[in-house]
Amino acid sequence: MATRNEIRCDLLVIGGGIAAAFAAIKARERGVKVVLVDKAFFGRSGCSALASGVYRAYMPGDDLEAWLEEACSTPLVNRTLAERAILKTNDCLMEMDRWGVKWIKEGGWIMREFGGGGGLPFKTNAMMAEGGLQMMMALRGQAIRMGVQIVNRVMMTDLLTNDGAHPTEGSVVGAVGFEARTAEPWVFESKATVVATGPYRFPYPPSGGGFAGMPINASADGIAMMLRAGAILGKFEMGGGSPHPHEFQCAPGLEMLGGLGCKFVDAEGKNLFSMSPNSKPASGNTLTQNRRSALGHNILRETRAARHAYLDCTHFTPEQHRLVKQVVPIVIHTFERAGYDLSKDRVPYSSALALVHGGSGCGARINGKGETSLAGLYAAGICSDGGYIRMGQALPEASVVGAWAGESAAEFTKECAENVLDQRQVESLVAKALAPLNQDAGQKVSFGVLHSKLENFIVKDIDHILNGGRLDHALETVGEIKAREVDRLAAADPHELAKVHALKNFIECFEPAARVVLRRTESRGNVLRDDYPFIDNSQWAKFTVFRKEAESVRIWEEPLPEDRPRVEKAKIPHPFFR
Amino acid sequence: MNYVKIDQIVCTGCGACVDSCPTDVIRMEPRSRKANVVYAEDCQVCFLCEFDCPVDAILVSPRGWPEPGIPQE
Repeated sequence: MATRNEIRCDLLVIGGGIAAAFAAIKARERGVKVVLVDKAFFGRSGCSALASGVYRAYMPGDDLEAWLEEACSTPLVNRTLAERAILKTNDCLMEMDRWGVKWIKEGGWIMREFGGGGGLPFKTNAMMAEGGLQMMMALRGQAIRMGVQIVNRVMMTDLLTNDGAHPTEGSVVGAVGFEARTAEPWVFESKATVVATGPYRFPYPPSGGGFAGMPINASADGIAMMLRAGAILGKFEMGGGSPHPHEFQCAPGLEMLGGLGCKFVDAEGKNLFSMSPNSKPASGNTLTQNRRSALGHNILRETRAARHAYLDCTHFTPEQHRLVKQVVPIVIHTFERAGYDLSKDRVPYSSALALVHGGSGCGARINGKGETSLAGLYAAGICSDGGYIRMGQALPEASVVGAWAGESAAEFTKECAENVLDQRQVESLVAKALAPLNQDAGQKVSFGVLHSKLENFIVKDIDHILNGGRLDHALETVGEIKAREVDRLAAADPHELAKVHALKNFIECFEPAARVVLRRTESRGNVLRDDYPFIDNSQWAKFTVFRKEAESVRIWEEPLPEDRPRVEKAKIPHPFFR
Repeated sequence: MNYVKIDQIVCTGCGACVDSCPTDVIRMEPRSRKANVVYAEDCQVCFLCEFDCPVDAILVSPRGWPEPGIPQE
C-alpha cells in the first residue's frame, strides 16, 4: 500500500469555499488546531471562487422587517434563525473587509446594488472587485495568517465514527480520503468535523442543455459522506436550479445583472421577463416561487417550444457595463471570448433540468450552531439545509452558517477527550476509497460509459418537468445501476478516481432526493410536476427529511417551526401550467 | 475540445496554473518543466489559469482552440 498520511487535529474542515473559510478562521480565533482539506486548491476551488461577485448584506439603518418579510416570502423558512442570520451578514461583511477582501467602495464606504434574486426596495448587494476569485484569495490569506493548516488536492471519501459503524449511533471522529494526484491515502483524526463541500449536482456535466455549470467537479461528496455516516438530511424537495447560459458553464451572473435590471427576451426581442429591482413574480404569490424560479419557468416555456430565451443587457449604461466586468469577470470574459458584446448582443440562456441541482442548498439538517444530528459533525454552506435561513443568495448563507459552525465546533472540541480511531474502519474505508483503481479487468465499468448513460437518462427520464411515472422509472434505472454497475466502476488513474467518487456520490444522493420529491404531490418553487400541476397549500408546510438506517433510507416529515406564518389551505393551479 | 492554450515559449514553469486549476487539468511536464494540459476534457473554462499566469502565457476560449494537426474547414 502507498504511504499513508496521518494528521491529528482539533477541528477538521472539509471544503474550500466561503463556508469552509469562515468555519476555519472562526475556530482558529478560539485557539483550537484547525486543518482545512480541499479536493482542489483552497482559494481557487468550489462555488465561491466562481460566484457572482456580490454579497447580500444587511447594514445598520436598513429596514429589518422588510428584510425578514422578504426572506419569509419564499417557501420553508425558519424565521427566528433568519433574523439572526440577516444581522450576522453585516458582521461577516465587515470582517471580510478587515481581512482584505476588496469591495467596490465610494468615499470609503462599501457600495451596494439592488438584489438580483429578491424584491427588496432598497440596495442590499455589496460587490467584490474582481469577483469571487479575489474574495476567496483574501479569505485564504486570512486563514493562513490565522494559522489554519491547509491540505490541498486531497479528496475526502468517508467520515470516521467512534463506534466504527456506518450509519453510526455514536459520533464523528475524523475522515479518510486520498491525494487526487497520487492516490496516497490520508487519515484525519479530529475531535470535530465541519463538512462544507458544496452542492448536490450531476458532476462533470456537458456544456449547456440545462445542466448546472461551474464548478463541474461539484457533486455531492460531503452530502453522501454525511448520508453514509447516518446524519439526518433535508431540503431536497424544492429543487434549486436556476437559468444558465445555454452554451457555457459559467455562473449565470444574475445576482449582479438582475440587480442592474437585465431583461430576458425572445428571439424577436420581445420582453419575457424583466429583472428590475422591484418587480414581483408574475404569479403574485412569492410563496410558490421566487423570482429566480419564475424566470426559469419563463425560459422553460421558450425551451419547450424549441426556442431560446436571451439575456439582454443592451440598455445598460457604459458605466454599468464597466461595473459588471469588474464584479463578474468570469461571466463577462466567457461571453466576450465567445464573441458576445453585452452592450449590443443578447446571450442565449436555458432553464435548469430538475433534480440534478442543489443550488439553493440541500444536505445535512443543521441548527443555529451548525450542528448536524451526529455529535462531532457540523455542516455549513450548500451541502447543508442552511438551517432554513433562506437569504436569497448562497454566499451570505454560507458565510453566516460557516461562522456559526466554526465557533460552536471549536467550543465542542475544548470539552472533548482524544478519540481512538477504530483501525478496522480506517482500513476498510481506505480500501474502499482506492478500490476503483484495482478492478478486475473483466468486471470493469468505465467512468465515461456510466457518465454518458446517466446523462442521457437525466435528459430523457428526468427532464425539466417531473412526472411520478417517469420518476418511478428513473428510480428503477438508478436502482439497477447501483446494484450492477457502481461497485464495478474503474478509475484509470488517481485523477479519474476523484471523478469516479464524484459520480458515485451523486448516484447515492439521487435516490433519496427523487423519493422526497415524489412524496410532495404538488408543484412549487423550482419543482414542476405535470401529474400534480397545482400548488397544494394544505400539503406543503412541512420539512421532509431522511436518514440512512442499515441498508435503506427512511424518509419522514416534520412540522415547520411555530413562528412560521400559516398559509391558507387551498389548492390553486401552478402559474406555469395555467 | 481544447479550451486552454499554453504558449510553451512564454511559459516560465512557475506552476501558478498547476496550483490554481480547480479541476486539475494542468500539470508540469517533467522534462520541459513547462505547464501542460493533461486532462483537457475536464476544463470548465473558468479562466483562473489565465488570470493567475504572471507572464500571460495562457489563453482560454469557451469556443475552443483548433486541435494541432487537424485541418480546419
